[in-house]
Amino acid sequence: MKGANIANMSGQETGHVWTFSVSSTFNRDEPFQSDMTASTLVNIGAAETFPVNGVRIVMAGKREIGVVRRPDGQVEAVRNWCPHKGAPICKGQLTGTALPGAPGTLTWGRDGEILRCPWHGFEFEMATGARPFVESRMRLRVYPAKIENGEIWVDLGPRTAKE
Amino acid sequence: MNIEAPQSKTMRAKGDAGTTIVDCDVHPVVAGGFTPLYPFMPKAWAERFKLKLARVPNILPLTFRFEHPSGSAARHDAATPSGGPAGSDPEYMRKDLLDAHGISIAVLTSLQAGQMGTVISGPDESAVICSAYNDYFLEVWPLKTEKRLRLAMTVTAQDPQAAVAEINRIGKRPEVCAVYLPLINILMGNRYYEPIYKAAAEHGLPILLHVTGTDSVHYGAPNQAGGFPENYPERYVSLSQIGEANLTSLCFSGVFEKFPTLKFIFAEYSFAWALPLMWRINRTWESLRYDVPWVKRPPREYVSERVRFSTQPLDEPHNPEHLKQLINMLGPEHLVFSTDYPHWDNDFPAQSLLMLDKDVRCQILGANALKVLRT
Repeated sequence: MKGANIANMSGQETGHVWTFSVSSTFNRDEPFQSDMTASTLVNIGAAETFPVNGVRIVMAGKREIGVVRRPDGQVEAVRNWCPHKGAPICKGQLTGTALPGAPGTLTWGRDGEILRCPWHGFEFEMATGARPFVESRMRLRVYPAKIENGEIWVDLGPRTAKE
Repeated sequence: MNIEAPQSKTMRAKGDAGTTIVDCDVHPVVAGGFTPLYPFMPKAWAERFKLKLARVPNILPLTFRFEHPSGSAARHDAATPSGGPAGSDPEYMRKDLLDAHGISIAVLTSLQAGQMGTVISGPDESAVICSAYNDYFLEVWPLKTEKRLRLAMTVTAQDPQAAVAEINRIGKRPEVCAVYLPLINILMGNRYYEPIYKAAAEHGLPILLHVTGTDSVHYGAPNQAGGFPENYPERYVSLSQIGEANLTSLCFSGVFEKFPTLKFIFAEYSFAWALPLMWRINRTWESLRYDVPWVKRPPREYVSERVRFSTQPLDEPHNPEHLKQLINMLGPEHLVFSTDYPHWDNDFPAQSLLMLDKDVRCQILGANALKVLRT
């Protein structure tokens, strides 16, 4: 997941297509670093109330988000909105997927890293919002998140935080 | 190879002089059905067929329900000067098709062989018969001297190992440009066909598909969807369903990954359907890739690289611009020209695709086919 560009994407609706521009870089493997002001951070509750390797849907300000707490203490947060057709994607499966392979073979991988939409089955990486094995401009909205003093904080970014 | 455009100006579209035209769907006929084939098969098999009173019509009767309303799908005006069946005289074909329409290469696909290669005969019989037809055209027709005539060699679909043996037997011959695989009711993505694909790929030959006349008529042949058509027009129009089913099967089966150099020509299934079908195939792959992880790239990429659709029978919308738009949306690289000589529903170059930009039309008339056929 190194170097994945995910954070602070601003969405713009053009017809039926959502296009995103990336304004900064968030590295999943580095400690949480937010260059936002404190006003964009939202406390969504005690970390212990969030399941490990499971999705909990909460409100962060006016935004519904899905949050996954990892065993290593990292936190992943995405908007509960599939960029394909607007489905509540966080009610889908947090799962792995079949890795590309030779005909007649089946290899399971990325276990627990993939969020699969309950509507049309589109897969996204929970950590980055990217679509695994499919080249696409469509991405899941991802929010930087961290645990601090036992609380989970999510950075909604200035645009969402103003809502 | 160097391909010289014929000099005949009969039935030529303005500006087509010098244009390379490859006709990917021409049907030669062995007049007299079986008798001329006996010298090209082992005596025991010839005797067996004589005892069975074997006969092969010039065009397979589709049963009375599906018989062509005029009595024959072969053009009455294409009968040979001696009164022989249309497509049976290579000398007349040279004048009536190659010279008259400026054809640089004509791909000969024997529907007589195709019928017998599917379900009309038994598996062993079909292998013998396909070989006999191949040898007949290679030896009796002037393929060695008339370089414009090339053979899509027929293999039996009923015995893949026999098909492989046939490809290994004659697949290297320069007169052979493709492998005609007359389908049975097993979809093309099925691993049943893999030995044939392997042999064809090893010889650099594309797999050419064409309806056989057994479709929706005989048990064991591919059937059209939804039920039993009631008449010739109904069956004729919906034959493209067989093309759709097989293209879909190829896209999700992993055949393109297993045989990364193998190419396919869908002849006479038309092509307008391919555009929305590929939309749907790609869209479904985006959703459900994890169910077919061996499809490593968007299916449209495989198809764009390795599947070609022959143009005949061209659809003729009220506004020709709509067909132009559709071709541009599909991508003209997917199309190869065909006349279907000597059948009734032909498209000849002089009247075909004139609404297209010249470079696009030239691409479809010849250049695309030269990248797929082994020439």
